[in-house]
Order: sequence, then C-alpha cells, then structure tokens
Amino acid sequence: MRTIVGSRAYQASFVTNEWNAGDRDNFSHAVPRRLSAEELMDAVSAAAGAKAHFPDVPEDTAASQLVDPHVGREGFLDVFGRPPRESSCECERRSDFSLPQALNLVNGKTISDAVADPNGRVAMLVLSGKGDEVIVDELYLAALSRLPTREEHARGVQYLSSGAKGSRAQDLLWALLNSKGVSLHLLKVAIMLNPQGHRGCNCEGPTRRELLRVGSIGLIGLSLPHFFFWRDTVSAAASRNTPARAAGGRRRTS
Amino acid sequence: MIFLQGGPSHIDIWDPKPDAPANIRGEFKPIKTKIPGTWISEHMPMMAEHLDKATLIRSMSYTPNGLFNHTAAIYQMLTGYAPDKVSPSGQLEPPSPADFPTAGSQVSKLQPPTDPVLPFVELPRPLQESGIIGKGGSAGFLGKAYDPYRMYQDPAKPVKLEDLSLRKEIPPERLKDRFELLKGVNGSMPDLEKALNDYAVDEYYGKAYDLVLSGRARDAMDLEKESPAMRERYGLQTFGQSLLMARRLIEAGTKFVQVNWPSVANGDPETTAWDTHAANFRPLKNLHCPKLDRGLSALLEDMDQRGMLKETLVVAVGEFGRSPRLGVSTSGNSNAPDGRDHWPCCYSAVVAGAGIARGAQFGESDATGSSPKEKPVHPADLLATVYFALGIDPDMEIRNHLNQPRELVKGTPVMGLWS
Repeated sequence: MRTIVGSRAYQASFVTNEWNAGDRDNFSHAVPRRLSAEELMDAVSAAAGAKAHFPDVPEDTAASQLVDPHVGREGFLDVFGRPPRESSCECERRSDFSLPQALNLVNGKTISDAVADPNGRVAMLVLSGKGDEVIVDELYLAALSRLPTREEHARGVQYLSSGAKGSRAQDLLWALLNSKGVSLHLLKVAIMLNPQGHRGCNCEGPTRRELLRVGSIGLIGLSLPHFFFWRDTVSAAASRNTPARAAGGRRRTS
Repeated sequence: MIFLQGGPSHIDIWDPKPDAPANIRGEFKPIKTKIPGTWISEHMPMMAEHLDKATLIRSMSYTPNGLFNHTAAIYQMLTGYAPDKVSPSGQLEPPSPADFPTAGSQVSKLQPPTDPVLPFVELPRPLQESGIIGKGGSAGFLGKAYDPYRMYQDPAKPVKLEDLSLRKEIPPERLKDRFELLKGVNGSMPDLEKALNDYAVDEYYGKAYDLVLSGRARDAMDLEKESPAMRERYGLQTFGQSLLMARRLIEAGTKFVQVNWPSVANGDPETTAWDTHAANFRPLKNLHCPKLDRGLSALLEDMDQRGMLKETLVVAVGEFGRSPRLGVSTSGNSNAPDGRDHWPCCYSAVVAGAGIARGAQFGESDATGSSPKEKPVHPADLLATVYFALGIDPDMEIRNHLNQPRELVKGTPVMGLWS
C-alpha cells in the first residue's frame, strides 16, 4: 500500500505544464474526477460530523454500504449518478457534473442539513467555546484534510467574527464542502490498478467492477495519503507557507 | 412536444372516414374545420376552430421492427432509433444509460438556454407502459446531466418545488454571502481551478445560483399567476394545466417542454388512456377528446395571441394510430368488438409554429385510413423536422457511450410543411 501510494504516478500533481497538458494516458499528471455519489455523500457526512439517515437500513449505514439501489431513490445519490443496477453496463455509473447536481449542492438538503445538524461538527465546535482561529483550522481539516493557508485562515477568521458565530461557521463549512477541493477530488487508486481500463473502456473513471476488484484497498487507499499528508502538515503547521498544500492536499515526492 | 402516449385513434379524432363501412368509420360524425376541405371528428369542435394555426399531418407511417407495441414505438418516436433490444413483444425494456437520447435531451445539450431556467422539463409525469417508466424519455448516453427535469406532480393542484425555492433558513442575503465565501475558497486554489476547467463547475454553480435566486423557473411553474379564466380555458385537469405550465416555461426561456398524456400508455381507456382495445367510443367522446380538444386548442390560440408561435414549434403526436377495422387484433392483444388495436401504418399529427404552414393539411390517407395515399412521414422524419425547425442539423454526428459516431437522427426534415 505504501509503495502504491508513494509511487511517482500516484503522487503526481494535477498541475500541468505546456508539454503534458494534453496527456491523459501516460500518468504524466493526475487527472481530477468527481467523487462518486456515495463517496461524496459520505464525505459530506464525515466532514460535517452528521450521518445521513436512510430508511429501512440499520442506523449508521454509510451511503457506500448501501446494497439496494432503491434506498434513497430520487435523492442525492441518484442525482449524482448512482447506478440503478438495471443492466450490466459499466456506463451506468455517471461521473459528470450537471445542473441538477449543482442545484442540489447549493440548495438541496444534504449539505444544508449536514452543516446545520445540532449534533454536527459546527454545533459542537461553536458550543465548545473554541476560538475562531481553531474553528477555521478544524473546518479546513475536516473538509479538505489540510490546514488553511495564511490568507485562507485570515479570511475565515474575519468571516466568522463578522456575524453570529453559529451561522457563520455553518456558512464556512458549506463553502468548503461546495468548493472544488471536495466534490472534484483527485482519486487515482482504481485507475492505477487497471491502466487499460482508464481509456478505451465504456465510460470515464473507475468502474464498479474495478472498485470491487480493488476491494478494501480502494477504501484504505483513499484515506492513507490523507493520513501521510496530514501527519506531515501537522508537524509543519507552524510555518504556514506551502503553496502545494493550498492546491488541494497533494505533494510531490522528490 | 405534446406526446399522446397510448396511441390515439386517428380515424376517431383527426382523420374521419364517413364513407367507409360501419366496422371502419365507427360511431363519430365528421365536422368542418378552418382548413378548407379538411374535416375532423365531431368531438374536436374547438380544434376545428383553431386548426387555422396549424398543419394537420395525415400520413404518419412506419413499419415496425417486430410486433406493434408501445415502448418500442415511443422510443422510436422520441429518439429516432428503434430499440436494439426489443423483447419479443416489443415492450417492457427498462431505460438504460446506453439508450439513445430523447429529443429534449439532445436539444438541451445542443442548444442550452441562455436564461436562468430549466433547459428541459417533462410534465406531468414520465412516459410509462406497464411498470416500465421513462423508456425513450431519458438522456441515455448523454448522461443524467441532460435528463429532463421531471415534475412528478399534478399541475392542476398546487405544486411544491423545494429544490427551486430558497430554503427558509437561508434568505437571499445569506446565500449571497455563502457564494462570496465559496468564491474566496475556490479562488485560493488556482491550480485546482485550472485542472477542473472541463467540468464547467463555475458555470453550473452560477446557473444554480441564478435559478434559485431569480425564481424564474419557480414562477413559471406557479399557475396561480394566471387568471382563473385562462386556467379554465386550458381545462381544469392535469393535461390542460400541464399545457398551460408548458406555455409559461417556454415563455420564461426553457428550450424544450414535453407534456405527456397523463395516463399510462397501456392503461385503462375508461380512465383516459388512449389505448382503446375495448370501449373505443364512449370514453373517447366523454373523457379523452374533450380534454385534448380544449387543451390543445387553448395552447394554439394562447401562443398565437402572444406571438409565441413564430418562434416555437408545437407538435402533438402519439406513438401510433389505431386499427381502421374494429375488433381485430394487430398487436397480439385481444380486442373487444368496439375496440381498435395498435396501427403504426397510418396515423396523424398536429404541428404548428416555427414558420410551418398555417391552416394546411399535409399528406393524405387512403379510403380506410390504413396507409398513406401520398407523402408518408416516418417518425424519424418528424423528429428530423423538429431538429431542423430548431436550427439543429439532423445529419450531424454525435458520439454514443462507446464513442461510436451516430447520426443525430436517420430521417429527412419534411420541408413540405413550410410551403
């Protein structure tokens, strides 16, 4: 796992230069893709500290653990392209971005309810009486797995102090969850393990079959780099000046 | 697109055959219309008055691939392609992401609206035959981004539009604040912004913001803003109010509105399904025709008075007509002596607007309404005509889910409609 996650291909930045901007085949840079429906919903739950509730399944079931595509029908998951499992075509899963999705993120109940959850992260942070500096740090860590840059930090603190702290903190988490750093995250695990599958297959992005093949590796793979990165960031938190960090939580390995 | 799913009987509505034998001409009498020499059913009196704004096509026709059933026919009518996996009965294939896209999805991709409105709306419910919902009515391989905005609500009752209405706890000022903040958050990650250009994230967020704040889509769906007289003119039932909502949506800038006949395609004719295998006449006279007559004539009259017909195309058509002879089986279904079975070989369509001839008849059926006597129009030709009228080249190449080149539609626009 460490070998994979530490590999040059996995660690490649999504920043392109004039020679590799057009390349999508040779792993010369990372290619961003949207989180899948289930990943995105679970990411929102994890960041906001507020679990989504699905009817007829045990409490604490995560979206990625749902077996039946009928659970939560016509809701967030379907808008974001969860496969209906009606055919065996891998193209059932969609990873494009659309107007109904933007409407849902901006005005739907999934993010709005999660950030306003009375037992959620925002409520707990505000009730704990922590200072604005700490709250901004915590929210960046929760949503983007990194600390804010100096400017981001200053802007966040300024926003929190210019109104009712509770609703202002909700707004900040809302903005972080709607930022491009969350919904369109970099994910390379599945593509790496099946290089042929990433082009010439029926659809964009890793397929359900590939994810199944990857199995638990995929799930761990998601969090491991975050862990390595977070560990390094925390130790380096005193000097807040890494532009690579600001660019989405990845670093190049030299 | 007013899609009369179920297969309306052309002989009993648009193409009466008073001189045919009794087992063909049926019970209804013809009446004169504003088109000289063209008569329609006595149960369409308002349309007879307003046909001077439209062209009546009496030569719609195709030979089906396999048996004559609804879903395959609907799919062909709205996508231009025969379904590649037709079950032996020609029906009951659920929608798949590999499907050919429905016309409205194609239009909303090729000609996205410039105003903060929904691009493609389907009212008052999706297409349906038996348990199969939405076949031929989805974006298919274009991706869910281009699926219609589906109402799932009866416009004749007050409708709830939660996703288009601002949430109670988020007044406009707060949403503006949130967007300012979001702009700042994204702005501090310029490399990520650049890498994500292809997703057009800002564009969609901008549209969502405009949609929610401007409230134009929400207002367009608020029929309370119409006078009671106008609502009554369209008919105070699901179909009529759907047409009124369609007019409001088009007025607001929506590119494509599809109003489906509110009954399931193969539903019970006694409750307004067009699929009149039994009881063709009494329900048609008392239920179906009055709603269609009132609604469609109101739409044509209203749009004409507002000058909207100049730039809007209105099409009213079903997936096929019904058998000229009463009580025979053409589809393998059983039919009562007073019923008519599916008949794709000849049927009728009403088209209006976008410069199409006013008060004209196009094509003609034979003495029994069994096949076109002249100028046959294949459903794919009608679809090509729709694209042509909207300024889209029907021959253009698009790519399917396997990245294979396909024609937008394999049909020829019916240029005769403009003469």
